[in-house]
Order: sequence, then structure tokens, then C-alpha cells
Amino acid sequence: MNLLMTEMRRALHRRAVRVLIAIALVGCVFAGVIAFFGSAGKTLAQLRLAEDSPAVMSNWWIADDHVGVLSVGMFFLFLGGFFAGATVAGGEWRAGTITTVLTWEPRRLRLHGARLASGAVLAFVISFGLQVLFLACFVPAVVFSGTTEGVDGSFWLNLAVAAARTSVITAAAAVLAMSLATAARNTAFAVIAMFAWIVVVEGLIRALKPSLSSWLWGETVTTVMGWSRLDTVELARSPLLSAVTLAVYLAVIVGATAISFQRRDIAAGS
Amino acid sequence: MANVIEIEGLRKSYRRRGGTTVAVDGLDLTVPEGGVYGFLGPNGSGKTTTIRCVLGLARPTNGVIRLFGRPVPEGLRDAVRRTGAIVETPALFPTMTARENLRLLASVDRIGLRRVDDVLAIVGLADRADDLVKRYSLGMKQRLGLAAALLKDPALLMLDEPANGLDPAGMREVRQLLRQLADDGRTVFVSSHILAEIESTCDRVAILAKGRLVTHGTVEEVISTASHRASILVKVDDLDLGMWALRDAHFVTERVNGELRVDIPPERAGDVTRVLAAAGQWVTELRPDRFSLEDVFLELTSASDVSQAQLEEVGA
Repeated sequence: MNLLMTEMRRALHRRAVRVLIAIALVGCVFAGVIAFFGSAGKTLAQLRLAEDSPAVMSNWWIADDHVGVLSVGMFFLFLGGFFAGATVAGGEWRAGTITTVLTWEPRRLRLHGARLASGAVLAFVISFGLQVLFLACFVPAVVFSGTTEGVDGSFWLNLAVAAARTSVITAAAAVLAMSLATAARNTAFAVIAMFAWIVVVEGLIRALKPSLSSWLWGETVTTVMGWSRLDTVELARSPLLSAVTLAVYLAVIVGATAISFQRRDIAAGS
Repeated sequence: MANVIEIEGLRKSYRRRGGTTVAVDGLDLTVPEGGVYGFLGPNGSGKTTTIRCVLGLARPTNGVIRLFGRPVPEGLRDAVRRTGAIVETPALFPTMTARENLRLLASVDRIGLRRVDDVLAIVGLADRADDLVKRYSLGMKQRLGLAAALLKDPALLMLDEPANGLDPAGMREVRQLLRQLADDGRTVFVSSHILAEIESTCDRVAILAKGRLVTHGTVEEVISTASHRASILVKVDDLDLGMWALRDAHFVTERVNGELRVDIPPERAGDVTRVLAAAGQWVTELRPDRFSLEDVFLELTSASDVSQAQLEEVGA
């Protein structure tokens, strides 16, 4: 637990992490202001007609359609989680602090595990908190111009589950990035490798071998996010199977990088 | 006396493009408990690699290492708790203050916050403790690294070139601190290529060259192992004339830095002055030529019979 807390403090001290959180906070407030002024003076009928107006609280998450205002920030959260994870792990190698830490905790797998766990917990908590804040910024628009009609217990439950699901995927993105950055010993590799895989490799697979699409990260994550089978993909998987697939992919990458970290010489400039 | 570090047949090689580099080649070393142990060698002689292997940062290709009697890396968990270390330049978080860095490390081992203030005071950083580390000079970073190493109140301190980046006053302070720590009963294992740092501080030394142990023992023992000859240094007005006069009298003589070095025990200096006087050369200065650790170091490391090519490009 000590090591976990230490790793969390260490991660939170990273400037990139703080900058990303600050950007997200500014984004939330900005979205709230736009929603407030955008809904001011409009009738409820007009707001309902707009379908995605955050002033209508029931639009925050429409469980049947698996979409809502909440979806807007999901992509940015994954991206932020990934970038922050890569920075936290890559920065350790760049600064050489990994050597110092290992002279305090020589059990590398334990250290690596604590580091990944701290990244996952932080990413989950920050992601969930930001989603709550994001939605909270729309409350003035709801109070002054909108409505809470249709909001009941099941709405809140569905909203919370959707936010939690997004946070889990953000945590997974952070863990994936930390693993890749640890394997390559720098931040840039993790970011470039992931970009190359998602955009280039998966793009090619989608174009040349559509039947394999359901195995790709993009489709798998989208299925888990919306928790519904994709209509646009051949042999689409169920949300549960997609979640398992995602977990297996992550476990393989985390396992491989952990073994590499365990066996590697920690040398100057490594 | 127990041994804190025991190394048997340590070999560490790295695969490189075009061959294998051998950084440490069959090193046997025993560091007894207590005192300051100097680990000497020129750059690239394998000092840092050895330290990395002892601390479990690098895996030996061959050989056995024990730290506090426990095998490395299996027993490192316990041994590391009693070991404070700096490996090369101390690496700490640049965007944190010195105090924050130390508190973070202290939290790994549940060390009290008071100890953080204590070690900051010991290394003379108490008044700069709340400055960001990125604003520290290299010398201040070295001190902070030393403070980090001292946090655990370790029985063994392993310091890799701790005087790097320090000014002469800082070096002297570090020397005094190391001496004081050893006098308090700790074992201080310090690697360095700055000989003055070692000679005046260490109780025992080991000299490494090209990955192999050349000699080891107390400073006096090591100095006496060198193939040096007893000699005296003489100054006369005409060095050439003096040198030929001594050589004619069958003294082994050479010219060194504006003086004549004569291979003869200091107690026979009278024979030299007599020969020089007979040649009309009056001695203006005469003193015994004392060998320092640096002389021995240079002699042993340059005369090491280990082939550089053999060591560096095995299998190339």
C-alpha cells in the first residue's frame, strides 16, 4: 500500500498530468458556459428538438441508444489517460529516477505492479471525477433553461454505469501506455506505436480484411463503451466478449512488458 | 569481521553490434564491515557495472554476489534496506523540491519525516530544501543524492563517484562526511577515479583495470605492492651534467620535471651528493621520492597485462 501511495504521489507530480487535468477542467467549464448561454431564452420544446442539448438532463445519457452528452468527453478521456500514462512511465526513464527507486524497492515486479495499479486507480478516479464535473457544469443550464423531466433512479444508475465504464477504459488506456513506455523506456514510443497501430494498421486491416474488424482495438473499445453490439461490423461481438477481449489484449501486453522489465539491465541512459 | 559485500568470479558482458563488450571479467572482491573502501579504476574499468550488479540493477553474466551474506538478486529485498546508494549522477524528480523528493523516498520505507530534515542538515542543504531540484547545481544534486542514500540510516553506503561536480570545498566536506560515517560504524564503499579523494579518506582500496581486479588491500599495502624503486629527487644547476656524472658512477638516473630521480634508498643520499660535488654540481635540493596512490594507480592500470582488444571485443 505504501508503494502504491508513493507511486500515486509521484504520478500526480508529473507536470504533464497536471497540465492535462487543467486542460480538462477548463474544457468542462467552457462547455458549461456554452451550454448555459446556448440554452438561454429557448423554450423547452426547442431544447427537446435539439435532442442533444445538455439543458435537458435526460440527454446526459440515453441508455437505450447508448449515447448522450457524456459521450462527448469519452474520446478525450481515453486520449488523456493514454498520454498521461505514457508520460508518467516514460519520464521515469528519461530522468533516470527508475535507478533511484530500484535501490529502494529492488523487487521489480512488485514495483511495476504498484506503478501500473497506481496509474489505473488515478486514471479511473480522475476520469470519473472529470465526468462528474463535466456534467455538473451543465446544471446551471438545466436549472435556468432546461428540465429534469424523465430523470429517475434508473437514469442515474445508467449514467453512473456509463461513466464508470468510461473510467475503466481510461484506466486501461493508462495502463497500456505505461506498459508500452516501460518496454521502450520512453514516452514517444508508446504514443507513436499506439497511433501507428490504431490509425495505420487497424485502418489497413479494416479495409483489406473486414472480417477481422471485430478483433480490432477500435471496434472492441467502441463496443465496450456503448455496451452494445456494433451493427456496422462483420461478426460483431457482444459487449461482454469485447470486454474480455480487451482484458486479454491488455493482460498480454502488461505481462510481456513486466517480464521485459524484470529481466532488463537498468543501465545509464537505458 | 563480517563481510558486507562478497563478489566471486563476477563477469558482465554486453552484446553489441559486431561483438560482445566485457565490462567486468572474473572479479573477486570482498569488502569487510566498517571503514571506507575505495573502489578505484579509470573510466570504463567496470566500477559502475560492478556496483549495478551488486545492487541488482544489472544481471551478472557469471559469478556470485552476496550483500550482507544474502545472495543477489534473491536476497536483495532485505539487504537493500540496510544499503544506501548513489549510482552515477543522483537521479531525483526535477519538478519536486529536495524535501518532497526525500519525503517520497522515505514513504517507501516508512521513514519518519524528521529523518528527512536530519539528512538535509547533514549534507548542508537545509536552507535550500524547498527549492526545486531542477534549480540545483550538480554539486547540490550530489549532496541531495547523498542525503537520499543516508535516509535509511544504512549500514552500508555505496557511492559511485560521489565527488562528481563538487568544488574543492565540497569535495573536502564529502570526504569528511564519509570519514565520519565510517567512524560511526558504517561501511562506506566509494568508487572514484579521483585519487586524492580516496587516498586521504579510505582505509582499504581495490584497483580495477579493464574489468579486472589489479590489486587490493589497505592503502599502505597497495602502495607497497607497486614495483616502485626507492629513489631520491635531486636538483642541481646543470641537470645534464649532473645526470651524466651520476650515470658514470653507475647510478640509475633519469630527468623528471626539472629534477633528477636517482634510484637509490634515501639513506644513501650522501653517495649522490659526493658524486655531484666531485663533478662540480652543488645540490640545491634533495628529497626522497615518495610514491602516492596515484603513482601506483597509474602504474598498475597502465601496465595491466590485460589486452584491451581481448576484453572489449570478445567474439567480434
